[in-house]
Amino acid sequence: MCFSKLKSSSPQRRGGAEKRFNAPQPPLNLRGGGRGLYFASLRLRGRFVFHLLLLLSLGIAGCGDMADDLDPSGADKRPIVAAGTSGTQVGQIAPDFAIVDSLGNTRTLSSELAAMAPGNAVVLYFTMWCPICDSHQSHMLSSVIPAFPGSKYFLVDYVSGSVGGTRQAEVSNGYSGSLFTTLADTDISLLNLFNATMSTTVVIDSSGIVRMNEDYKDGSRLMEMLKGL
Amino acid sequence: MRSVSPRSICVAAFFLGAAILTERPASAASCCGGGSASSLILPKFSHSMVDASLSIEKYDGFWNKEGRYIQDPPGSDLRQYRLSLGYAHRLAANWQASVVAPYVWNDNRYSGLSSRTEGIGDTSLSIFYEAFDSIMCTYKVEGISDLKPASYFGASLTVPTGISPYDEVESSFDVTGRGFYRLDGIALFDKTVYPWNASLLLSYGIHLERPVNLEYGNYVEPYRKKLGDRALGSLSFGYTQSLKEQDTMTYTATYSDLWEAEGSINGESDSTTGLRKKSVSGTIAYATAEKNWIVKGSWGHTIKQDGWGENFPATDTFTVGVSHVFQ
Repeated sequence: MCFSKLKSSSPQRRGGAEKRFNAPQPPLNLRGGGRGLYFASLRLRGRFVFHLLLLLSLGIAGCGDMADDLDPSGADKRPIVAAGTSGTQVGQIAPDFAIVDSLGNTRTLSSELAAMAPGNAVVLYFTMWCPICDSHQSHMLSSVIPAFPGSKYFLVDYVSGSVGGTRQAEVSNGYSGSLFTTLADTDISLLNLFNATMSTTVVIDSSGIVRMNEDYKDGSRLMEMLKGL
Repeated sequence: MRSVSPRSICVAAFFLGAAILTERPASAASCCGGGSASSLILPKFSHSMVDASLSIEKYDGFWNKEGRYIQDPPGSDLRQYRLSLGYAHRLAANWQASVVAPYVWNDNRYSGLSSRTEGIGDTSLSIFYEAFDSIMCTYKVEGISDLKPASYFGASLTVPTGISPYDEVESSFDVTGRGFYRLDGIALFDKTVYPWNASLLLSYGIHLERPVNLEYGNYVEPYRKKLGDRALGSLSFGYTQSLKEQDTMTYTATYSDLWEAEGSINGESDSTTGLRKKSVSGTIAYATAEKNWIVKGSWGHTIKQDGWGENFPATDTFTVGVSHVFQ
């Protein structure tokens, strides 16, 4: 972390223990040069703060990770993906995988797709049972799933570490018996396969092509994607 | 009663105000970014101040969008450690400025996953105007003028120096900031009738819209995102106890209510965002007779029951800090 290399500068300390109750105010008995000196000292203090902030800004600007936020870009930098290749980026053919759900049943991508009518999709949502995750999941239940009932919706729990833990989290978060099927990604293989993190949403159409692999945000991209299948 | 100077009273009162700002709820969470810095306020007539504090924030469940409290998955232990360094400087008789920058360590342990990451958090730059020229503290109320509070009006800019979801990061566990500039207007009213004190802090902030083309290291179709406006109200009551040699110990209790409106994506409201958090805190501050060294400890607590928050993690925050004031 580049900031760990920064040295903080020490402010100028004024010596002496003299207490000046009204210190920053120009003494009324000061005239001419005295008041000038007083305001000069205030300017020096202001200059010190300016230099401190300048140092901070330079330090920040030197950190590549931060530049993305300090001066964010809206340029489209998505990589070009060769159609028909296997992979998890948009436009690629998703590799098959097998994973156990919260009830202990083994699910495979190929079997889920095979049982699906054209025009539908497998939707994976990666959850760590957090407030943002819950908000997204609730939004899917109320707005997305009713509009696109033919698709299959899976919550991928990558934090509980066991099928029992996933089941417990599913129940305590109120998703037992819901229209979601919860998958126990106990060895985080699915997380790694899709290069996913919290609230990553993956859409795989009935022909196995990845149509979306990004953050859920407000759900509008997911709905657009499902509508366009 | 022992003789205590008006200046001592005011410095003690200031630390109540400072305590409020220190307890300003951050957006910290393993899932939501964190490490937002608070502001510093310099005591009247002081030249400058340095401040260092260490906070441990322990996550314990969350409130969903409907305000229902939900526990974290079994076996999880989610923490964030923050070392905040701050400097405040008097620019003129009634003007002061400050900068606070936190360094953040995320320590997230679930049954099936562990992560320890670190980085600088979001930095806060503030400027305050003191709408009073003399000591506003008093020993007793003899007239209506004695009830006039010390009023501070300021602005604070949160600079996204932290690591956000829109940086080159691999996972949400790496995040130490929200990635957005925020401009807050702040008003602080502080009244001390020795040894009692009351403070009211009000702030309203707007996030600036930004383009996004990167999410957790993956380039996506560009879009514009804006977090919702944010409001905070804090009410504090304190008592200052005189110790030997005019040292003082100040005890403060604070109630805070934080609200953030829904954000937007490409100008459309995002109904999955927005938050609410109500919290209480207690602070103890020890100040030397000269009031140039202050040692503080605080505990911020959220009530882990339905209705005390929305769409936000429930946490307990323990903070110890030390300030040195240059007269």
